[in-house]
Amino acid sequence: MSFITGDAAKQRLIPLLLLGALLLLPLAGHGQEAAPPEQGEPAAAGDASAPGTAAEAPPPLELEPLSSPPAAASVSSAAVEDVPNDNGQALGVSFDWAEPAAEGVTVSVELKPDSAILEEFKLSDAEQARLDSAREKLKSDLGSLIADRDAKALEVAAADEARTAAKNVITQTKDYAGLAELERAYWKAKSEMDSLQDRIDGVQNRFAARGGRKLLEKQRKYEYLSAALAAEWLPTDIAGVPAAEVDSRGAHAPLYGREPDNAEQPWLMVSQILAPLPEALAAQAEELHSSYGEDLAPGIPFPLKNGQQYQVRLAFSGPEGSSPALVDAGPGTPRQSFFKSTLASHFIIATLYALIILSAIMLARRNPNLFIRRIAGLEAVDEAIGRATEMGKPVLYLNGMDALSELSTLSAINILGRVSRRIADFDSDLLVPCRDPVVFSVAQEVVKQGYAEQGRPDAFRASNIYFVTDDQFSYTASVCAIMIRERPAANFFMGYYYAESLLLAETGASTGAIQIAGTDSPNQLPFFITTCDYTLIGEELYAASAYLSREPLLLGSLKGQDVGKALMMLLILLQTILFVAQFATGNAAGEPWDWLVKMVEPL
Amino acid sequence: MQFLRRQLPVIIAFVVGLSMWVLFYVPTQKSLELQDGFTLWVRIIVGFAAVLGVLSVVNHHYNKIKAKRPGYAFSFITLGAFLLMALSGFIKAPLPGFAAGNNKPDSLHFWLYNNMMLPMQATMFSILAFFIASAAFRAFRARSMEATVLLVAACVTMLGRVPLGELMKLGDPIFLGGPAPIDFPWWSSWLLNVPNSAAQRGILLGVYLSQIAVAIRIIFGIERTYMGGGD
Amino acid sequence: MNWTKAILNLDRRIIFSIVALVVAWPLISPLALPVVATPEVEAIFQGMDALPAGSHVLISADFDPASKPELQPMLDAVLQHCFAKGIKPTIMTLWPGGPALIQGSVERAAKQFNKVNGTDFVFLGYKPGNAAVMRGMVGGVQNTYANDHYNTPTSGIPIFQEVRKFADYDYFIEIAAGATVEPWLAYAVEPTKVPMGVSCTAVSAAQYYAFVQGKQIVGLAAGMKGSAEYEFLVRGSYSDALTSAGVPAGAATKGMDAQSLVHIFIVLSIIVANLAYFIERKRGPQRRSA
Repeated sequence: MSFITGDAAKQRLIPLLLLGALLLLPLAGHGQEAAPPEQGEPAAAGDASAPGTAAEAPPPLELEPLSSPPAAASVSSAAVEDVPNDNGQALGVSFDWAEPAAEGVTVSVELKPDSAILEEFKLSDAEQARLDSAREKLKSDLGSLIADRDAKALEVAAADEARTAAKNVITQTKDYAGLAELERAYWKAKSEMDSLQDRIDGVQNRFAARGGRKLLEKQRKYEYLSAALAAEWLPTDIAGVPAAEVDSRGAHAPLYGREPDNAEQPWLMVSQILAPLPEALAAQAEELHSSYGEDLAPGIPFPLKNGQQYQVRLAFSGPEGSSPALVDAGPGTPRQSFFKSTLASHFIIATLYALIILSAIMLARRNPNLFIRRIAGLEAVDEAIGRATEMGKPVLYLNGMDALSELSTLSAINILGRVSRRIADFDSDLLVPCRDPVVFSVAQEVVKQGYAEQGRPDAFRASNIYFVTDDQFSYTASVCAIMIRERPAANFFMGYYYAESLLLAETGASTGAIQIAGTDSPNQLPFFITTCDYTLIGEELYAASAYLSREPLLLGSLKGQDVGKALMMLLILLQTILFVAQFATGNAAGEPWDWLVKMVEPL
Repeated sequence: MQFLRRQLPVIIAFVVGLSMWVLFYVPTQKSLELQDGFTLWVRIIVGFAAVLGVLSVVNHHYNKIKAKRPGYAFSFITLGAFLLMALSGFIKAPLPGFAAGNNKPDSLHFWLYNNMMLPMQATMFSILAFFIASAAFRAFRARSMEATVLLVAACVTMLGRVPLGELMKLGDPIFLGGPAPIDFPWWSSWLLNVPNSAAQRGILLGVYLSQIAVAIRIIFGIERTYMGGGD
Repeated sequence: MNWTKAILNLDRRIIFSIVALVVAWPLISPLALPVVATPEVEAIFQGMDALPAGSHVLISADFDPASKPELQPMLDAVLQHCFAKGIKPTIMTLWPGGPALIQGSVERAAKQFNKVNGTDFVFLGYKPGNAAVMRGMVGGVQNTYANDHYNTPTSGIPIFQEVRKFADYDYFIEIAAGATVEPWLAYAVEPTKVPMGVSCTAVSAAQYYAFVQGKQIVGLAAGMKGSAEYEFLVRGSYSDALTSAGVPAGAATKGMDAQSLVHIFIVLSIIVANLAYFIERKRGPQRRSA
């Protein structure tokens, strides 16, 4: 189901980042404006003096020494920055030191959320009833299991200690019988404990299956959060950060999609609040453990909610003798961005390249006489099939080792479609053992269609296309056995291969078959080249379907590819020249190509 | 019928392909959920296809046995091994000589895995060493300039990648800090890092560009062979 | 008839037998050839060695029995390194054939160094879905793995109070028998900038040198040789810790002798075959075509 953005394609798009940023050059015009334009609200985001929430509330600046001792730190300004971010679960907080922070000063960020965030964790009456009955059942099922297990665990620990102690002195005591006794005692206790644990796990799994665990988690979240909300200011994941380790805004450049202004300013990113274990629950901890097997977490983290307003303050605590300083940073709302600004160049180049290919296809529709260079491996397809027919031997075709979602496998299937038509014409047998069940069913359909289109549906034998196993080397063994038993006259290895490539191709070579391979796996190319008669290298595999069909629209896309490739070569050359120029002049600052170099540098 | 077989798959490919591409650039929770949803769909389809695969295996070997085609005795072994491995994975009760449970050490399933699967897989992989030797012997002939370069590079890399090659250093460095004329590890590492990397990058860039082109051909329904639909 | 023809048409089985002999001999009586670490492997080692005790390392051991001789020694050596240094590894695998093998390695190393499951290390086990799992790990370990390999809920494992998502790890080691390196790079390492060291099979190593050059990965340990080098480095720096833990000599280091000899044999056989080929060619074109 994943085509261009499929798993493989996505990862393989990454190198295009390089090309992408380069292609931005003509679009950007000037270096100063070279930043990707898709940033949500760049003006508000980058400027510390005008934070995003300035309109709602001007950042108040209050130092609140709680008592007479000197404050831990002195801070001149603090502001919340709601830079749009990928998941909408983070807030930035910036501030300035009024005077250098003393040794031992730490910074924490505290939030006051709206109590509305509790709503989503509240259990309905029906849910509460379900949870209660599930827990009742859990309690009765568990009985004394937990207590027994805990007692056994103590026993196991004691037995382990005893046998370890005995082992340490065994060279002196030589009491091997005694040690064996201790070992037996340990393993007996251990296996008893394990079987108790197995029973507990079984009960807990039944509890989870009844939906109890999910509901319980929800309820606990509610309890933790409501208790924490009563205390107003909540701790966050930014707690006790030493002054020297405070981030700078520049360190979060990806968030801005470019190097932000005022990059040196201290800047902290909060992404979750932490609700500590409420006292009321802590009091029941023992009972919850022994009756329900539940161990309470010391705190539960809650990610910030997109679009929810939070009051933010900074808390500085300092060395001995100073009082904590609290600085209000005003309200802030985490916001979600709708475009990955870091991928802007990626997006532009991908779009541009797609347009080039589509226009090449359009052009091909108008002018269908396209030249395409000769590919020896594909010219040999007819020869190979013809030979098989003469010898009365089958043709073996492999689709590679990957799943259908990989483009190399799809290409192999496309080639199979073309090859099967020729085979139907020549009237020889086609064997397609498959490694992937999905590939198997698609291959069967494709070959059937190929035979039908040549008017030979009767010659199609479904049993010749079959699934073998998805285990790499079992599959290899099986295919090698087919080669040795059936002695096919022609072997096709198309698609992606791993370490088995040589095993397949060398076995094929030993049977004297004509072998044509095509793979985009650079590692396996040498093996195919040394053992096969013809090898399609890399992109030739993808061009093969177009080449064999001679269809203008498909050939057009090859032309588009060539344009894209030429463009890429040009850009690589340009980058190399720029790099050398920069190297030769020592420092490129102030040079006319300075802005170009700046674009290229991060790559 | 024609619509179901021809147009609908192309429409699905177009819509899903294009939306996956757009979603890749959208970081919202909904977008992530959708993307995960698609991956989940793939897994579900693969799950169903696995059943097809099993049926295909059984059918293939059953036919072979029925027709008494040459080597049909092996089909008995295949089917037997398949049944044994599958059953040992399902049965939880202790089997004679083995521990209870299907996922515990000392159970039959684990024993089969450790003592059959493991050595057999390793055996298949290790055959590679023998095949490399015989392929190298047959194929590495100095027939042409290119073949000679390939041959020399292969020899240098092989010697540079083993301790014995490291003992074979000869001559003084050619220039300051450079390698000696005979210094296999250095030359092999140079071969891997410079000419090899350059060629790999060239091939891979071509492959990536082609993959995007193929993806576009598929998304826009220009390439339909894989649907079995033809043109 | 004549020796050149005989050599050029040598039966494969003769070559196979010689290879078998050359592999078996040094395994029976080791030559103990010295191992020298290459810069690529040293870089992985140094990256790990620079971490303070108590750091967290994620190890994705994506291999199965087929590549056991090449990659399991690497996993063992990395685990020994972690435990000797007091680093806390989290181990996972994306290969269905892996868990039984990896479980053995992890439990052996933990026993040797007296490490406690859950506080000193975690073995998460296997999870299907490659890229989906990688993306999941970036989002949060506990969301991806609800339970570890031993069915303990990850929410109750102490290590996951300290590390919650991929970005919290200080170092990432990928031990790959297949195509998992690039997805890890794209989905997890690039977005989070966690330093990544790669160990892979010798066949696939050529592909990854470009990533070392591009500084996308810290270093590369290729095949059994890479594993032997890592073993050598760990033993060099932590010989006391390893000796007191009773860790036997590394499997890869032992295998290097055999590999040395096989390489030499292949090079020699290529030279002999080419000599025969040249002599045969000199004798006249009509014979060659015959």
